[in-house]
Amino acid sequence: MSTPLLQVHDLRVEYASPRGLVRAVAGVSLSLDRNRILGLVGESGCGKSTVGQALLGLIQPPGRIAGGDIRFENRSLVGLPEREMRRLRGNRLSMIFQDPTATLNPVMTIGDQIAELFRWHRPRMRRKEVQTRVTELLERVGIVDADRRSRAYPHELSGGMRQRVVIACALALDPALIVADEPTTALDVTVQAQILDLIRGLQAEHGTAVILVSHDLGVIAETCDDVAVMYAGRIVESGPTAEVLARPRHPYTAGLIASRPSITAPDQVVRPIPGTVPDLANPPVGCPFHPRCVRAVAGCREGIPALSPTREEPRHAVACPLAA
Amino acid sequence: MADSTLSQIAATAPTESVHNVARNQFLKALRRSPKGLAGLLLIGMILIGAAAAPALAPYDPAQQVLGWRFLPPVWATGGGWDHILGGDNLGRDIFSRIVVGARTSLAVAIIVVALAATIGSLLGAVAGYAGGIVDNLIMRLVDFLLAFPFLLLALMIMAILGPGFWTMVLALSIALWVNYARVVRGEALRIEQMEFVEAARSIGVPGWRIVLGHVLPNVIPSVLVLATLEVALVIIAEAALSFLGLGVQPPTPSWGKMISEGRDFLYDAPWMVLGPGLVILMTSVGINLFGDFLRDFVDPRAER
Amino acid sequence: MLSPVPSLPDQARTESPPDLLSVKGLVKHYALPGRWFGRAGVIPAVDDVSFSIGSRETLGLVGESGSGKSTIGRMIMRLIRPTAGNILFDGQDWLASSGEEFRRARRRVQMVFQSPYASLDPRWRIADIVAEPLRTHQSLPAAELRDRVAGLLQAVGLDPSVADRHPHQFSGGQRQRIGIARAIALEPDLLVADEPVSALDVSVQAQILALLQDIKARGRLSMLFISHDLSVVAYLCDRVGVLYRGRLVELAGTRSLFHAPGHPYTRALLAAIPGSGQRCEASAPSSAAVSETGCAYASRCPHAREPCRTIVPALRPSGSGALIACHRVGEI
Repeated sequence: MSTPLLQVHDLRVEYASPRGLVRAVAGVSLSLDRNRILGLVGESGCGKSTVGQALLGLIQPPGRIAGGDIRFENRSLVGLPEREMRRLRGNRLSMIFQDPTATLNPVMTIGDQIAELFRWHRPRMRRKEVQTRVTELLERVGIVDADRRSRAYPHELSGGMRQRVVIACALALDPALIVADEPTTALDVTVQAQILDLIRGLQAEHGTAVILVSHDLGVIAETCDDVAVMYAGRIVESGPTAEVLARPRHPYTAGLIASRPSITAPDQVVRPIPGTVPDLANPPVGCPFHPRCVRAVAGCREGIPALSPTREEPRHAVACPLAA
Repeated sequence: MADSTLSQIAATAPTESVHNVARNQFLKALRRSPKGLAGLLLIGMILIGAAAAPALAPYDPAQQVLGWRFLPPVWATGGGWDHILGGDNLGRDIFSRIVVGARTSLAVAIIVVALAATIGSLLGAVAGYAGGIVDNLIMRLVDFLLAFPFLLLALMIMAILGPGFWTMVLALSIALWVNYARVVRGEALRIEQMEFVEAARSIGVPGWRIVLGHVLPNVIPSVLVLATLEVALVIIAEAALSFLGLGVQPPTPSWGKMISEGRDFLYDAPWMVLGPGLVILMTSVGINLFGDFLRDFVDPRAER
Repeated sequence: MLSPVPSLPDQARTESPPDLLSVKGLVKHYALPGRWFGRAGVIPAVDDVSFSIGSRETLGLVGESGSGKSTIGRMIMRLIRPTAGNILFDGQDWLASSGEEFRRARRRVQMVFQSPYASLDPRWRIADIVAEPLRTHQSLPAAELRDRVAGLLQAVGLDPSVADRHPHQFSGGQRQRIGIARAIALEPDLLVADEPVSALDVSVQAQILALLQDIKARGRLSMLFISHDLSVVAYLCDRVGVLYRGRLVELAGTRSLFHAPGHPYTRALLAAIPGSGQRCEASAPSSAAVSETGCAYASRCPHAREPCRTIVPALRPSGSGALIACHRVGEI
């Protein structure tokens, strides 16, 4: 078997803050093959977006990658000079952000914004060809009348349309990996469904690998092949999406699922996870989840449990000795 | 922690000890802020100097001695410790004039800025919160006043009111409040959109209490920043007006006036400008530093 | 509890429950500024919306952004003036009351806001935030005020010792609890909750939902629950109204709405919920022009026929007891 497209090993990202060092990502390992969609799910501050930013070399001071390795297409991205990274970004690797309005330049037509990518990364491509490619891309993301729409400014489009343009930008240079950070959170439910369909369709068509960062288990369930649940900067559970969501092993994953009311069974009582997300400048000793965990025992305070495969399904891994 | 002691004390005895606690918190915050300390030190020195001026000034600031004319300061050849900062074109001791002049300059600066900030903030907050015709009236007046250069405006007002210390204070305040009104109105418009103002309205809190309780406290930081920047401006403006014979009447010294007098002798006796220039710089740096600290202190979100 | 109608005892109200709140033909238009002066036209943010909320009932209003759901909440709170329509609160004309009468009635309707960050004044201590309604409407001695605040904080699951802190020292969920404590301080009869959990993390959302459920169970509170999140609405509400572009397209009991949605838009909404296992009915891009006449949903609706594009459908009772605004309700 060939090596995976992306291999992250023991990634650590730290931020200096007035309250002390914040370990936003505290040892994350994952791997991703071509043609797969991996979901990173967790609550705010769990480090899921930071992982995405680290992959694209977007960690800015006071943050820094404090350790670990990111191997993408057989080269290490950690410590790569900014010039090299810039050549990769938008080209082999691209990103879709949460807020399409903030991502697009309000004073440039959407056609010019996509064309700019070609001018930057493919300087020898002729103007005529760039124009055809732009129209083609807009059509591919489901924008009708693409030729005319390419001359529109972002404010002339709806939120869903803008996100389609952002996706067109991300796809422009046929990247091998797309990181989509909460791509549908700012959108309405019906538009969200369309955008998720689009992402999945394009991914299947091109064999691109996608990392989908989201707080919404529903979005993950609908879109991803695999899922990694993050808590306090670590992956606490990972595996094939259907398997993890149907048989969650980690108390946190189970809690997340139980705390979401279901429309199919509205009488079912929601069971909130008590307490709040820990302060990463001052994390609890031992398993980071133990202060909120209903099953915690004395042993949970000693040592951070490692992510290890479960007996029944080796691809399903969990970082909880009580569950494995 | 400070929080728990605060709640304990507040629970047992009302207001009096709360003030004590607030003062302790202030001192504690000050001790931890080199910026605030440095600012306070500078301002303190200048204020004490101004307060103790008669005792501190070695000579009468109006006394003219022929032999002291253009006397160089202590560090230049020909200078001496008798006249640390030298003498001016009329043979007056510069150090004495600075010390005594501090009273005029600081009084004008502080009174004008305080007056302008209060009037401007109140009118700005009212304009922003009330909107409609009230807003239009206030802001058109602001636009009208802003159409004139600041000094020209002050001059025009003084031309009507006549010369003198208090008319100068009034003229400068009238010329300056518009800046506060504009800043505060913008901030008020922003704050008015915030949900906590909607919450207060939905509770039924009367409008004036929303302005005083929610809008004004939240614009204090911007007002403080503006006020600290304008202290130096006012000191210089006072000089310009006094130079034209409209402000402080001679022989009363003021820093600004000393600078404008020294301008003609910049090449022959640069120390005439240097002394007052330095104290103005010290004052504005001091006030800026302390203002920064104060802004952080009144913001409960700032880490302490 | 002060009631504007002292002669009506509590029992009488619970025995034959008249609607606590009833909204009739509510309209809000926003003027589009013209190129130079005047107006170029109007945007109907809310268009002819009617519903009622009974005593102890929780009505959900769902819709996407721009559907007018928050505008309706703010009109009921009298933060925005309606262009047309009536609101009756406890049998009284709510929009006409003014002065002291309105002040007294105001305390019976309170609101929980969306943003746990923007809804609390960052410069105020928690004690003052929670006490603001009490200070506005009652003059209590300091000691009693303190006790009341402590009691309210406890009621929303916070330790009373936090009273002297400032909002920034709390997490989003805790802040939302503080906002709820403020809203229930005057023991209102109606709580308008505008997206109270949408800014919160999933696990914290559940905590706040449980708290609202708990407050509902303890008192005789009615609630208008505004949300874009159907599963949250399903969990908390007795009845649900679905809004599309300022119009109520369906109003039904929660169970029937989620099991047998009548309006095509309601169906599309339900199908779009990720993880629902259903797939979206083919819906045209949302930017498709809205027809000036007829059903606002017609341009997206797979079932649209001739009358849909010309005649605005009225909200009518369907066989199942739900109210549905669709010309083709029996056929599809």
